[in-house]
Amino acid sequence: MKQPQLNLPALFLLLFCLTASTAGAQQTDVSFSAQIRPLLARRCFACHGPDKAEAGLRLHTPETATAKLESGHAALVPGNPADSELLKRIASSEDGVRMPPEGAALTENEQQLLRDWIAQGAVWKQHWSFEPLTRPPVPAAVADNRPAENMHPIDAFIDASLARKNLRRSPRAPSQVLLRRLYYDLIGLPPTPQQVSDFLNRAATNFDNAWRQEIDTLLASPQYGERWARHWLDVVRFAETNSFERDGIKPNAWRFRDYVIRSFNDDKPYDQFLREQLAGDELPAVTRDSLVATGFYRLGIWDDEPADRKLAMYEGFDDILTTVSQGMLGLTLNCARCHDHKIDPLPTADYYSTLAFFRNITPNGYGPHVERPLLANDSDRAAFAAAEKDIRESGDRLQARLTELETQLQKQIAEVSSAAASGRDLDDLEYRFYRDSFQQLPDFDSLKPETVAALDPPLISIAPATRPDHFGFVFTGTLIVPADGQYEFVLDSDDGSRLLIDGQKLIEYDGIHGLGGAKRASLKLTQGRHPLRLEYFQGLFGKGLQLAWSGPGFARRSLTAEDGSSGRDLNEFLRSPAAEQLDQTLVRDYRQTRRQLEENKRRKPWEEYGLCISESGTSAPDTFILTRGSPEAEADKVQPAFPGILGGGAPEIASNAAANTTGRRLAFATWITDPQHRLTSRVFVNRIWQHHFGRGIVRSPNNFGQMGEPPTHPELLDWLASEFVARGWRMKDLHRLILTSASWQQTTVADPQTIEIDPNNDLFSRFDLRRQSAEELRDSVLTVNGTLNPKMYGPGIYPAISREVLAGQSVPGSGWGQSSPEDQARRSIYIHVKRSLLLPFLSSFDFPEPDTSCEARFVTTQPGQALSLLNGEFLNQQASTFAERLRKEAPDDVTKQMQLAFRLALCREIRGEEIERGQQLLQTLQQKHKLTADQALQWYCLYVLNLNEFIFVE
Amino acid sequence: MATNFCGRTRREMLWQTGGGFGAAALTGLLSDDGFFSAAAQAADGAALPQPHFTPKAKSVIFLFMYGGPSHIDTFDYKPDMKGRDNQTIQVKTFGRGGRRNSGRIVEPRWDFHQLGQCGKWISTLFPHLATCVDDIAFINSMTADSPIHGSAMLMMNSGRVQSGHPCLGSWVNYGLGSVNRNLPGFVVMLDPTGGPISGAKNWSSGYMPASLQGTTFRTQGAPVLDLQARDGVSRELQRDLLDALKQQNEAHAALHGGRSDLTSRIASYELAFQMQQSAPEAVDIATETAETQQLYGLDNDRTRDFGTKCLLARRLVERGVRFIQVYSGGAHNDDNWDAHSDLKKNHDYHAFNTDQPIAALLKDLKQRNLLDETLVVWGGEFGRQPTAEYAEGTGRDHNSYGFTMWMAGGGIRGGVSVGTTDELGSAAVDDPFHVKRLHATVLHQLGIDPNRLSYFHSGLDQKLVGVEHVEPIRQIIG
Repeated sequence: MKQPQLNLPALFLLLFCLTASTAGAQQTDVSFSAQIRPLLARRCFACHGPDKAEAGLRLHTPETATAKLESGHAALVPGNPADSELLKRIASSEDGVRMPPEGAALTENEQQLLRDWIAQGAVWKQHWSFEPLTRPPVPAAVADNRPAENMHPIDAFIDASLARKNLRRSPRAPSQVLLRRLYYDLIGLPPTPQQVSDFLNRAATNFDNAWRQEIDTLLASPQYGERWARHWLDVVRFAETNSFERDGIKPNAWRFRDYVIRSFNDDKPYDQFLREQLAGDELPAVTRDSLVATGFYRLGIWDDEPADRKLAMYEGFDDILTTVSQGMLGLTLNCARCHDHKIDPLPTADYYSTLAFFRNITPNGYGPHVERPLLANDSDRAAFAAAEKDIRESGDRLQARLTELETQLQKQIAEVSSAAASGRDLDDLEYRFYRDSFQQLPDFDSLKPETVAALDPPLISIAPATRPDHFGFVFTGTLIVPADGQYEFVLDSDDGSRLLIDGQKLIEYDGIHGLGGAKRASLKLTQGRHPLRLEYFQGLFGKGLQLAWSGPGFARRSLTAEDGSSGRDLNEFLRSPAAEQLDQTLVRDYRQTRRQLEENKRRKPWEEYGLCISESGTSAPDTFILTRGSPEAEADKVQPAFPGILGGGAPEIASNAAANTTGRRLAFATWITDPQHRLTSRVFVNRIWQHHFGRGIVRSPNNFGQMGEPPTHPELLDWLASEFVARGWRMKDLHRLILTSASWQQTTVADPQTIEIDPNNDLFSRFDLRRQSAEELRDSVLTVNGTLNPKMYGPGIYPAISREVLAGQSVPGSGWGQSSPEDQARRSIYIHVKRSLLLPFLSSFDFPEPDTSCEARFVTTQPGQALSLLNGEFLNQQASTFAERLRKEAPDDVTKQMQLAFRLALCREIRGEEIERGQQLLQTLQQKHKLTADQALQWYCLYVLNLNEFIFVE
Repeated sequence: MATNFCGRTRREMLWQTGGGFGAAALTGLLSDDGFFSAAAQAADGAALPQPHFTPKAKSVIFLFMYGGPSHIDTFDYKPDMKGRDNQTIQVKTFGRGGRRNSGRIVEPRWDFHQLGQCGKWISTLFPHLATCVDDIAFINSMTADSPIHGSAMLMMNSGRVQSGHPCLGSWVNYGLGSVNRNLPGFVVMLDPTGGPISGAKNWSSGYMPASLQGTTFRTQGAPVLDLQARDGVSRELQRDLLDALKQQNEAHAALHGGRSDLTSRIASYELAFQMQQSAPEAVDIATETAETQQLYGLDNDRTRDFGTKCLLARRLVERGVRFIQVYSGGAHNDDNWDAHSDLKKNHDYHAFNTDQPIAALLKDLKQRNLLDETLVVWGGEFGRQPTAEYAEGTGRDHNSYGFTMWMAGGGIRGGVSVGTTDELGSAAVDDPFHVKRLHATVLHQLGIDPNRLSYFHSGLDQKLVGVEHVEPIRQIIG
């Protein structure tokens, strides 16, 4: 590509920059970690870095960068720019000489930085975020020479950086602007007119008191959690479905959302918050919340029908590793999956030894390994066990009664009909059919069955197979044992099969083989109902499945349909006219018992289940480094270990028999929440800062590595992190600290000189105006018109989606429920998050695609948003409700209605000229467009809800 | 001047939203206030959406035959299979029914003829398209990573079997921006039976801003969601409302130093207002001659729907829309090309519905001198197996080991066929071309270097074609 020529104004600008930076350079040295390393990483490492050494040169370590090359030159000669080959090459314009050979040349500014750095001795430092966390001193106040202890510490840091550019903080914004800003910041909703006027009265006498009081009130309100939980849900890729073809629902995922809301509202220490999500099932004190928290692992995308199963399993691990490392550590460890990280010192071994902490977790899917009863304590566990036992025993009791009644009935039937009748041996028989080719029995529970259906009469049969070969079956049902005693089972199959009674494997007959080699096993069974499970697969050629049993009082009886021994169904007989000849009391009793048995089967031992993690035992399979990330290319075996750059080391791991886990995740959680951890606290305080100021001190919140943005205020970040940990990882304390700073309270409008010197607000020389988030906007509209339903928690809600949008689904409307109007008026955080069907209104305003962690939302401006706010169903409906409210609260007085509209939506008094403009609009609508006064007011409401002043937070 | 957005610099924000709906116009506005020129100076040159080299094509029309048409019954002639119906043979296949090592041959159900100057063999399923073969390059040796609809659709649309990545149309608009301020740059038209499996994931912008995602376009009523004013609302009324809004918003912006995020939002209302007029005009096919309408088969119930969409695609290309995807087939089973039970019935149906419209599109583009700058892509997410899926019947299971796609126009050589499958069509043997190669070719024809177009996400410079170097299919490039 041809590069655009530098034009004259550009050159002028460049010279200006250079002058400015040279002036600055005399005071501060070039920063290796903030300026040089990122530059080398971005422009040079691809060919001369950890991964590649073209011409023998690697620029990522001081030894290799200063080594003599094949050419006899050295790329870098510390202290000697003239002899440094690198500088010659980057300055050259000659093809084949100029570096880098592709893309734009380094700018003059970048070249100068490298020159200065070499002149200053080319000092190498470890990347800032890998250095241990220390607490920097708070700078002395610069503006008015106040001692540091009298300054708000945040202001001291901000002022110090402003002073280096001869700038000063912008003044405090007006109280009413601040109040609206505070409400949006902490609870994501506007204050009511009453709240505004109360605050203004109190602030007039003592701003500081009123302000602190307001912060405390909001932090104590439940809406705080609803606002701040959403930030975390973005980071942990929260969604309630799996994506892919079926985009199936993740049962109980909403409980995780509620858990996060509750955690914020309870001011749960961040270290505990992380420990619960990473290892809530392995903690010394497991609680319902800590179990629900582990749903964290289950939130990612999951293909239930992958083309390559092994690869899919590693995709699942990668999803977890990516979310943990970026979300909690600000590390892009995911980049080390196929090769050593190209930029950061993260070898592939670190990826796999970190993966080893998670190696034993069960895959996503459906069933008890994913959905677990929420048992908080011993009494819960005892109650659960008792309930399970009661269901089982009631079932046995009812079954005994039923068998007895059946025998009596069969006897009578035998008397009234000559047909032979046999008892039922199986009940609730269900099959799952899998179409796939197998060499041996797979873990069926991790696969997606093509069909799930009941078998009636309840005899095992492979007849439902929809193809002749390559399939599998799992039969589950209840075996009805007529009396206590020893029973023998005979299993024969072509190909593999496996029989489980009471969840225990009884006969294993796996592999490819023909019929004829029947396997036998016997066991003692008590009278009553026992779960039976039979797994089977058919490869190619010849198939069959036969299962029979014998026991006290009966010889071989088949449980499979194939050998034609299926008995006459009793219920069929009872439905026939011949049944009238039976003893009707007996029949009634039989039917009632049957019904009771059915009801008993439907009883759930526990009310609440959660989407949870589980492991498949106390020891994990081996973890191997996968060459180029390929599951088929296992290389060295690795043990769980922490990344070397963060201190490395082997963890202390104790397996956990009670939780049935390896204990590895708890070891990881303990490490990540160590108060000394270099990244955890830095990364999190940066996120808090980000959501107060609109950007993090590090502008790439998920990437604190060398490709990330360097912090604009490194000392402040470290100070905040130290303070946060010292105060017990409490988020609300951190909010108070930030919100009471004058830095946060600045105006959005700075003087022109400030804007010229600090155009990107790198120095926080003012507060940045921001557009409301998608959720804030929707929730605000509902608040302004007085219909927001404050109901908290529970399963997701489904705001109406238009037919046109649903038509994009392969089955229009599937997976999207209907909610009552009241439920639809709840806060946006409760909207069901379906990966393939995000609410268009939210998407339009940059609700993130939830397949991967979102570090910061986009803020786009596009006409589609305007169309949605002008013509969309939602806004028009709300505008009509808003108008109704105005009419009701300010009847028959247009001026008062407009005043109220401004108070509600903009949180301020309307100005004289704004009343005039409003009246003019109403007049035009009524006179020119012949609308009624009511219709005109509705348009006025739509107008107010479309104003920039409403949509932006100042 | 405005500053940072969610941690991103203003320049990145613009770059990232550069291809979005109406974003070109916003870019224009911003350059008016001097921002963009400043950005160009400050940037390293890569910041502005500009092609890497002179483009051959300006727009892409991707005719997506959802469900997976059978290549050996359409464009991949297998004379050796004639007369071998029902023979059981050893062949490795992998479809929704899993992996198999043998199967029963279903010989192609249609006759093949040699056509055009190039002498390409194609089946009687496409009598109209048969007249266009000299403009088409057939890729007979396509391969993909998955034979399962969900992940295979994601692969064909976004290059990955995992969801969460931007689709081809998003990449194109990200790379080049939209030239029409009043129309979306990435338009998707769906089959009347419904969307494809996974719905909106097939036109998602993944980790890029939502403004780069595909916009579903309807052929009846308002083409775009919320485009139309509410019932009974006149354009004059809207204008008066917008004027009032503008007045108040401008007063507000003035109090805030005319920040460009505020002024952009003011401008976005004007764009919306213009779009309300121009988007319906773009889809107003009543202005087309009767002859043109007939050419596309609008006079036949079977071809009207797809014909209308092909005609719309041409009209959108004329109006500068970068990427248009038209689906043949929707929903499940035989509502699309997924012929698991009765191949004959299924393919006769879908081929008839699309053959005339597609041929019309190629001819119409050609006669308007638009074919040279419009890249037309045809194909499904995979092909089908040479053997039967069930004991009975002609149904074929999915096949990602080898299948056919074709391209025409946009600098593609006509009348060529590249790559081959084995004598059964079960797998690509000579010159296999992975889906990434197809994507690379599309980008290349648009003037974008597929190995350079990247988007920084999750610590990596993400590319549509992945981290390994991928060559476009040079053999078909003119």
